[in-house]
Amino acid sequence: MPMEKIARRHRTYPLVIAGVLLCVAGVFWPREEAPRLFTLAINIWPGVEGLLLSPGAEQERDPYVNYVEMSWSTAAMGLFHRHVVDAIVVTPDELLRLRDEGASPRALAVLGVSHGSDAVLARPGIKTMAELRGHRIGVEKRSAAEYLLARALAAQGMTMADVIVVPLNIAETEDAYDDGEVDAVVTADPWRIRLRDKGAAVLFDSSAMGMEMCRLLVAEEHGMQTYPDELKGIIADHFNYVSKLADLSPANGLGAILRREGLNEDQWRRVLGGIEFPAEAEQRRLLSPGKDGVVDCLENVQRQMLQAGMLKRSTDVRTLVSAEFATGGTP
Amino acid sequence: MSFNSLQFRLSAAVFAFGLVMIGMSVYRQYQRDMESRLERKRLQAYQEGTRLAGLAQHFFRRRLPRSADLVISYASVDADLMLGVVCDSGDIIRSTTQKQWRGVPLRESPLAAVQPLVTQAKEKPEGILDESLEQGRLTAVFPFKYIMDRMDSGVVVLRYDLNPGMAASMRRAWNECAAQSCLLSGGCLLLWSLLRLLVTERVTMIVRQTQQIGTEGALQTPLGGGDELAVISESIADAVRRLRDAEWRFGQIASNMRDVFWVAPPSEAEPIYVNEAYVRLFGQPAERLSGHRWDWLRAVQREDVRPALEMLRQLRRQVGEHEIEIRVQVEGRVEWLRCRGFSTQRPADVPGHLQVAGVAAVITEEKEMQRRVLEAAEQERRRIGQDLHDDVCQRLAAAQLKSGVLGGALKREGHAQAELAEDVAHELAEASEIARGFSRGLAPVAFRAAELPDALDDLSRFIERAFDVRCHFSCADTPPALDTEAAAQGFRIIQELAINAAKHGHGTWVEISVTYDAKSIRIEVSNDGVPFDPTEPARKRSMGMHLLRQRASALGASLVIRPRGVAEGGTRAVCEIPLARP
Repeated sequence: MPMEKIARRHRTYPLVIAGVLLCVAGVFWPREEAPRLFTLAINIWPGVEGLLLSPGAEQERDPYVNYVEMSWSTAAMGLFHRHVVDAIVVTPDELLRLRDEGASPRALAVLGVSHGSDAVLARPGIKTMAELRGHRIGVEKRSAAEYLLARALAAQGMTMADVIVVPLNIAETEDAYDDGEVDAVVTADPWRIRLRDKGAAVLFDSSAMGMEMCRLLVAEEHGMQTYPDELKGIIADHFNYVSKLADLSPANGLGAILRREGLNEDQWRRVLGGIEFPAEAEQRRLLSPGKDGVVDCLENVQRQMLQAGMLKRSTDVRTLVSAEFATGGTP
Repeated sequence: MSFNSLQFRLSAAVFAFGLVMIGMSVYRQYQRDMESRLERKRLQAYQEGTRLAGLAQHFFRRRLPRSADLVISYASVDADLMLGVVCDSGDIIRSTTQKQWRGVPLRESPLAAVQPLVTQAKEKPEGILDESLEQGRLTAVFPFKYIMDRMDSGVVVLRYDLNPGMAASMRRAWNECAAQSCLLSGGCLLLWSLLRLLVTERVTMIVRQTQQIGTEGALQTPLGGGDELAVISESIADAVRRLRDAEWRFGQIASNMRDVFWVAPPSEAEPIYVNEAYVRLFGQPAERLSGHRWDWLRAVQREDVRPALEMLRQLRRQVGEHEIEIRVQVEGRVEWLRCRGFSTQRPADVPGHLQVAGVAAVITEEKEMQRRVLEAAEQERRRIGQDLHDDVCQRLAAAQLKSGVLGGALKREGHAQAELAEDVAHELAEASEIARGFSRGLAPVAFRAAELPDALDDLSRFIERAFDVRCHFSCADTPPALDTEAAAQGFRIIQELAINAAKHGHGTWVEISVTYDAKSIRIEVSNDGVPFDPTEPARKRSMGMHLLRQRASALGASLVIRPRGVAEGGTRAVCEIPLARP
């Protein structure tokens, strides 16, 4: 074969290889799997209003995030557990419950810390937790309310067995109290402040619980990989809007918040006083192992829940926290 | 890579056709996908709307508004649901996927535009599905019995966004399009490569084979494979072999023939072909013709250059045949060549661009033989004429003299035969005159060239007498020394030309003019009347013209006969006889 012909054939080989590769690529071309819109389940709580402000108060929907506004946390946890939603806002005890039930949640940000926003309220006349012995207490089972009640009872050397637990959803606590179905309820804002204005007495609240009743933004590993931009976006939005919550007026978003929370402006101001919003710069420190951080808090909560029989098994709480999406500050 | 190649065109055609097919297929798939998604969304809206309406009726009857909140919250996990509300009989939103609208009249919510549908739906227990593809919206309105205050209808309103589904269909279509295009591109690249190996390279080899035609390089091995191209290649190889055989035979003939064979293609870029005889006859290497097409003219005698070029011009102008005789000077000798040229139109050439070819044969010996024959004939005439003059005429003169003496004697003696004797004397005188005329005709220039003017003068008078036309003869200078043979042949040429002019011209005058210079004698014969064109085929074949050319050729003279022009009429013939004979 002449050298020229050999050289010409050698020039053809890359094209043949490219053709074969293109054919293989065409055969094994990945099918278009339209990713579902990032879905975030949120319970009614004033501390997470920053997340809901981002789509705009008067818009029908956010084009990047599907917000599922739930009335009570156990319903939202059920959606998260079944992978119907990609992220959720829960308390540390709820995070541990999710893990205990087989989910792989990761706390990505501390949205707010309840310093009195969660409380045990009783009818006027009942002054202390000890006086609740034998009374009917409305509480949402398997939620932060149950953990709060257990902590409140334990502080008095009591257990659940010392009271009559009436299972309620947190959204129903106000109606149950109004209807006289219960003597006390374990609830959170905005129901807490409304009941408080109706004369209910606070027997115990979260003001002395440190970070135990904080609200964490939680996502699963899959959600973190699939929607990193959306997660970063809602975290950024939260910290952007949360600093403005106190300065909002009915004309620029407060109206929507008040309708959603069922509060008046005065109640809203008072509610904000019971919530601490950690700064964005604090996030990395809070999410890294260390004193007063989320990991420390989770270990504490886990210990108490295990003692109270609320968890089946212990878990390495460090695997439940990720500082991947935290911005600013150093651990 | 050539965009005109079969390889490229076929691949490009397949690629273009494939793209069109993919486009059509993907579009159909997109339409089906869209329809399917819409159908599913309609069904979902119907199921969700009826379910929520049923549950809302139940929960509000049982005064469980929080449960109504929960069920509609669950509905919002569908990302396409933009907003869902449950309104009471006064169209106040009681439960909603976005809690901020709770307690707000429907007309003040983002769903204000569906108020007419709500009014309409309250009259239709089966509910309404309203679809707007332009806006990408699907609205479901389902009534239920709201009995918290009074017996009236509440409604469930669900508004879905169809745009994400349509966008997903579009993305899926593009994705499928990309996958198929990838496959098509790969396939076309493979086809391109395959065509290159099976067609382009093999066609290139065939082209090289065809380029061997007409060359003397080694024969290329024909293609194998047994396909159509292999058959073509084998056929070309066979044709090349046969062509080379034919060329070899032609080469053998051309190189061994004594005559010059030449071919001049129409384009000057193509070389002139001459066989080996050219070198021998023209005394110049054939290779010089490739750079100097007119190199052969250097060997042609000056007098013959013009006729040669004229013949070539005519051959180039139109398809035909011409023949001339020219002289070439080779190594100090002059050779006569008879050049026969012919022009042809090659099929591949531009029409009107003719190829000229021809054969030049040596006719020097033939010419010499002709000259000798003419000279011999002329000498024989002259001898007969002289014999006639010297013998017969003298005898007749003597007989005439004696008859006269006899007649005088008889007359004086009174014999009756005296008159007869005078008649005999008279007859003999006439016979003597006739014999003298014959003698003059057979040998007009009997002894030397100086007699030529007198002979021509006699000729002019003969023409006036015989054809009743004016004939003027002029001879400007003293004739140079010509040998008798040349003078005789020159006279014959003038005689033929002048008699032809008087006889066939039907004119009123004939003029004969003879002039001289140091190198040649110039004879010019003109007349008026009917023009004579010697190039007409009938003229060319006439015996008179043939003899004229033969005589001129024997003298090495040029002879040009041309009509004098339309206005003047008649013909002019010019013959130039060189004084130095070849």
